[in-house]
Amino acid sequence: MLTVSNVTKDYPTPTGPLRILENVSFSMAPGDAAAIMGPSGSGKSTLLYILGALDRPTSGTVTLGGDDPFTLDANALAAFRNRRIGFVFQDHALLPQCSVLENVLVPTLVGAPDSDAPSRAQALLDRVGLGSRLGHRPAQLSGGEKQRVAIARALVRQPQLLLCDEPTGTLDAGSADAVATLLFELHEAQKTVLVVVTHSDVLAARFSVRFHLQQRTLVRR
Amino acid sequence: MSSGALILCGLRYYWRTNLAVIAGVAIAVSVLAGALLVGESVRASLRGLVDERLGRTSVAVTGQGFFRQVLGDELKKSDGFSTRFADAATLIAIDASITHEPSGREASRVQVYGIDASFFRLHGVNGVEAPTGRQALLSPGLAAELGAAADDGLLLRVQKPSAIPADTLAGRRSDTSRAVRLTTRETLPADRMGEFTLRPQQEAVRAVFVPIARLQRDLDLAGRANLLLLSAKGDAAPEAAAAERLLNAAATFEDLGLRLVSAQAQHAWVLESETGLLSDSLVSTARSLASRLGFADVRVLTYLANTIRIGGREVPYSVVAGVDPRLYEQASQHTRSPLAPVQTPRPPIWLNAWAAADLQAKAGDEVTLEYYLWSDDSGLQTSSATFSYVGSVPMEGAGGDRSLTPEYPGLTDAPRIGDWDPPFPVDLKRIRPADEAYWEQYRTAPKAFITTATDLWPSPYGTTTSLRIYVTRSTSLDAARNAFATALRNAYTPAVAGLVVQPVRAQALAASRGSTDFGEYFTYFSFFIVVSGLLLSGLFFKLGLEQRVREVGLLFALGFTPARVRRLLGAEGLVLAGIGAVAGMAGAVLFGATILYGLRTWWVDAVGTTRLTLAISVVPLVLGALGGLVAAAITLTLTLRRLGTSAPKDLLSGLALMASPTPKASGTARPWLRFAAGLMLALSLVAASVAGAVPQTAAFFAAGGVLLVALLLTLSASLRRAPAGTIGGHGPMAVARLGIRQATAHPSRSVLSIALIAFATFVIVSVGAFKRGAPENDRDPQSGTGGYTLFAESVVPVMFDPGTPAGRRELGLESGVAAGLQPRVLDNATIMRFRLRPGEDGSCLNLYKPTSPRIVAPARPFVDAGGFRFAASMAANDAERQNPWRLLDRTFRDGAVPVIGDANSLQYVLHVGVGEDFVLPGPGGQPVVLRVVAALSDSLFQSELVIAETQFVRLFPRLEGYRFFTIRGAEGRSTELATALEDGLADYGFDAQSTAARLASYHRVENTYLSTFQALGGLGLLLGTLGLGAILLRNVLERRRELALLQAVGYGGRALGLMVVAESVVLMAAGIATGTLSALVAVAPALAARATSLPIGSTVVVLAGVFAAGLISSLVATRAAAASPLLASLKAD
Repeated sequence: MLTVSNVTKDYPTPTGPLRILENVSFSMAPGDAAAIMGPSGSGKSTLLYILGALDRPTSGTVTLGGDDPFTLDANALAAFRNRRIGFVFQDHALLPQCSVLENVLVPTLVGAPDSDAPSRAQALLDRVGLGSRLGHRPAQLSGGEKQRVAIARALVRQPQLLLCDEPTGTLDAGSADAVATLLFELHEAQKTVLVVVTHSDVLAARFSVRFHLQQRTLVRR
Repeated sequence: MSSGALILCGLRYYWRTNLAVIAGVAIAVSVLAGALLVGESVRASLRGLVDERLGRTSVAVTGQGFFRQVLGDELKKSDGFSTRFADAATLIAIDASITHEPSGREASRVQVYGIDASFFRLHGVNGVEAPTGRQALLSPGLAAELGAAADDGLLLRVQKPSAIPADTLAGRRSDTSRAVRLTTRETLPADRMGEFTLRPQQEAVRAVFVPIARLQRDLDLAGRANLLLLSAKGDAAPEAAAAERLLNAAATFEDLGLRLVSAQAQHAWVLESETGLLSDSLVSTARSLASRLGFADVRVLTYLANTIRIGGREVPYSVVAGVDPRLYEQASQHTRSPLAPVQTPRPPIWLNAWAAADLQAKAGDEVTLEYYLWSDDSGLQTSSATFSYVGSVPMEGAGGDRSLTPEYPGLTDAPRIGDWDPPFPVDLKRIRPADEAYWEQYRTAPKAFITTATDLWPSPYGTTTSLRIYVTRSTSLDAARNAFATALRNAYTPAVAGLVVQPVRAQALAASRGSTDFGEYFTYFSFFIVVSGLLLSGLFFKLGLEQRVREVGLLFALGFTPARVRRLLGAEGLVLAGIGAVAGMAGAVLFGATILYGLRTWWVDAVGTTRLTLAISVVPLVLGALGGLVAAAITLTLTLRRLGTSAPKDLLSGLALMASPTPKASGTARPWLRFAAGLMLALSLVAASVAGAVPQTAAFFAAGGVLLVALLLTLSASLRRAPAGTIGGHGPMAVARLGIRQATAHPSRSVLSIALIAFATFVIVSVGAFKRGAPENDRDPQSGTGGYTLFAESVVPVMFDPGTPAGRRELGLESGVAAGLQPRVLDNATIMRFRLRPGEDGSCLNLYKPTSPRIVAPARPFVDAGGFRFAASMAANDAERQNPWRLLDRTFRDGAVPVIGDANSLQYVLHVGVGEDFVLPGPGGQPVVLRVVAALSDSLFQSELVIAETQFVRLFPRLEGYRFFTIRGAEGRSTELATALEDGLADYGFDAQSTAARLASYHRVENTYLSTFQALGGLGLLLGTLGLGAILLRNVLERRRELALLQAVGYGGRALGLMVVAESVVLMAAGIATGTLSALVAVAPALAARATSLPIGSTVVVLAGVFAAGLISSLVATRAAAASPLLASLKAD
């Protein structure tokens, strides 16, 4: 269960704190999926990073499965992210010097040992349709393919929470649709909590739960 | 907006990257101009030393013998002196050893100057009184070495000068030194001429200044001097030719060592030499002149016979004249008709009437002459010859003519035979009253006359003791003398007589250009720093371009042509290079000052002086700046070259100029092909060396270089190639592998880092291999010591052979303290003697370029014994190959003199190779061509050149005796042997030292130069490491999104740090391994030849330092990465 309670986020500026989020609260159960929409600069990504324990809220709490990551020290926090959260970014953020398979395996190099990781990575890449291109480098893939590798990487640790930041933002319509379908299939298969930040109405329309960030607050539509 | 404004905007906006470019160029210029500045400063410092040590002296007149002290004053009064010269001073200058009585400390090779007030007056030194009585003024260096203070007693040991050569019968071979007791008055500071010396040298001067009158008194040199100094007037050119003209006019026969003695009874003048012998060339000249003036002449060679014997009757100690008495009579009467040959079974002999009567001689009697012969090899030996008595010579004529015998101090001036003080044994018991009566009446009038004297008593100095010039009775003796003397003086100039005018200031200034061009050396030494600076500059420029790649694409999209864009960016680059060059000029001063500080302190062993100071000069700075600018321009041009080849869309997308992220197919064998090709080429070079087609050192260094390049190409190809395995697993090793994989993301950057480190490592390791330690076995005849454990030098020539029992007896080594304490030490010693011509140190210990280096000539046993290790020779047959010392016996048609020197000195100091010539100023100023016939390898003869003894005697006949020795004693008893010889030969100023210590002093210089090279290589390595750090930082900043992603997926700070460190460690390790491996190939022959190992300790320390610097760079990069807002880069909005 992902629980967000009264999360407020201020950024310091020379003229005083700038409030981005104010008293944001919601909760999601495993298997739930939600899209977060809003204009540029409204704080969507900030909220997503707070959910992913990459950024701290100024006030309020976030818990995943009852654990508050912000009470953990730096090493434990890194391990928390490694085991329990998966990220997919707009710009796939693949390591150019590593092969497709290696990119997927990157999260398994740290944290708790996981002997099944290679076979799981292979399976995930088969699932995203890149099982025959394990040795390819990112430069040899299309945008949609790169994003599929990024999804496989996000799921290789079987996280409880899958966070996606504009996962189809740079893709053409066909690729975007394929990536979105894949995302939902894998989410369904692994019963993760899926949160997607997007500008895309098309993508958002595929979610039963949609939030809008307006005036620093989250509104369910 | 103009192009200029656009350039200015670029310069301002990208100031951080631009600063790095400027820094790179500034480093290159600093080092290049700094190296040139060091060279100029060393030369200026040496010039400064010349000025300080010569004072106002510009020209010096030196002689093989002594001239009148008043010659200086007479010169000053002569016409034309004041137009070119300001002042003149006459001195006595001799070598000595000195003992500081309170401490017992000794110093050898001390220059003693007998001076008066004219010395200080000439040099414009006021407030210093000339020494008087027994006062001695010490040079600062000597005072410090002895620890001498005012009123301390000093004992000076000098050779007692003698005009008569020691290796003639009348020459003195023992009791040749004099001890002069002095009292220290004060230390004479350098600015008060305390370091006066005519010999250019950078090391501290050991000089003592004493009253000239004291030396004249103690050395029986009343009114004599042997050094005349002249100071130039104002800015007048110190013209040696002008001084020579003045000297020619002012010098008298006495100054030239000649005398014209009147023989009134015969109406003749007798030409004699102070040496007792007239040279054959002088006799030839004089006879020719006499003939032209209408005078008859007779050559006479007189000698002392120990015995004239007929049967059982004998006359002891008689002068024998080598002249036909009939010729004598003819000349007296000015008649000259052919002499009837004397028909006798043996060579004819005439006795004067006194001797004929004493021996009751009858025509046809066999007359035996017994006489001494001196030989340097066997000493004084008695020899004899037999003659047939022809007749008597009346006492009124030649028979009673004492003028036939020149003056010999100690003999001819003795009132009685019993008062003789001869330099050979005389049995006074053999002297009869009749002999004393003869001496009283006829003195040195010859008792016998022979015609074969020149065969019996040959000498390298000549075969004429006097030349008698007979004047016709109608001509006055004085008029004849004037005519003859004038003609002879014109023909026999001071220069011919060995009184040489030397433009000492001009010579010293020429020598101060140095045997070693420090600018050149430090440019070589700093090569890798310059390259590193330029590579870094190019790297930062390239990084700047990569940073601006989208901007470049935009310019293309807006219609700028590639050439225009290149010009814009090139102009920016040149502005940056210009600023870097200006900054580099300032840096050059700092670099130069640091290097000179190093030469005065850390590396003082290389230069042997702390007197080197920085001389800032515009020319080297501008040259260095221009060099740096040109190199930077080339680097920028090469970097900009790729711009035109990129498509605008790639530029706009940021793909262009970035390393291709697409690897080559993993199956390719190209990397190994490159390595194999390089290896083959390296092996070919080694094979060519083994076959003798290429010099060994060059071949192996080239092989090492080829291997280095091949390894770098292999690494480059490997980095561009898809990796074989997959990064998997878990934990630090897996994370480290992920970091290492980053090196393949920008292969060119990685290869650049590896190359910078590999080049510098190559230098450090290969240079380290050439460092020399102590000789492995100083008793090995084939080593640099030749198996001689000691070498020695004496102030006074040793005429007897200390290597033989007879010689040791003559030298007093068989008795006394030394022999008494260690009777067997000397018996078991092998002592080789060398003649020595003092001169400039020809080794790397001397910064000045030697024009007249020290020369030694071994006696025959040394040559026959062979030994030593040779680096190269002209050996053409088995005998010469077996013992290259025999090459000294070679004769060359052009008259060149074979010479052997040490390979290092020949190459780096004298700059001549085997088969090449070195021209030496001869004793009379005539050039002597020395041809290098062999080069010794790392030998103890690095300060001198070696020629054959026969050549030495021919070239330097007045340098009689032996002053240089190589000694081999019983194992473990070298110190005892050195002490025994030094004590026993203390009067000779004998100073023995260990050959190992001498080699070590040369090695110290060599090793210090190598250390300097290594230190600068290390600096280059540091720059390479900094470049690596910059690359890592750049990579980290470029990879912020990747790192943020890694953070997002659970990588902590340690894991991120480990990745960066692993990458840098691998790059450094690759660089160090590549450089080390290649260097080991390059220096393999050196390691094998010296049978030594690499100085692993120091090399490892340097490389470990580099590793540490690399790690620090990585950590800085990691911290920089951690400090930047990584997560922001992941956000989509």
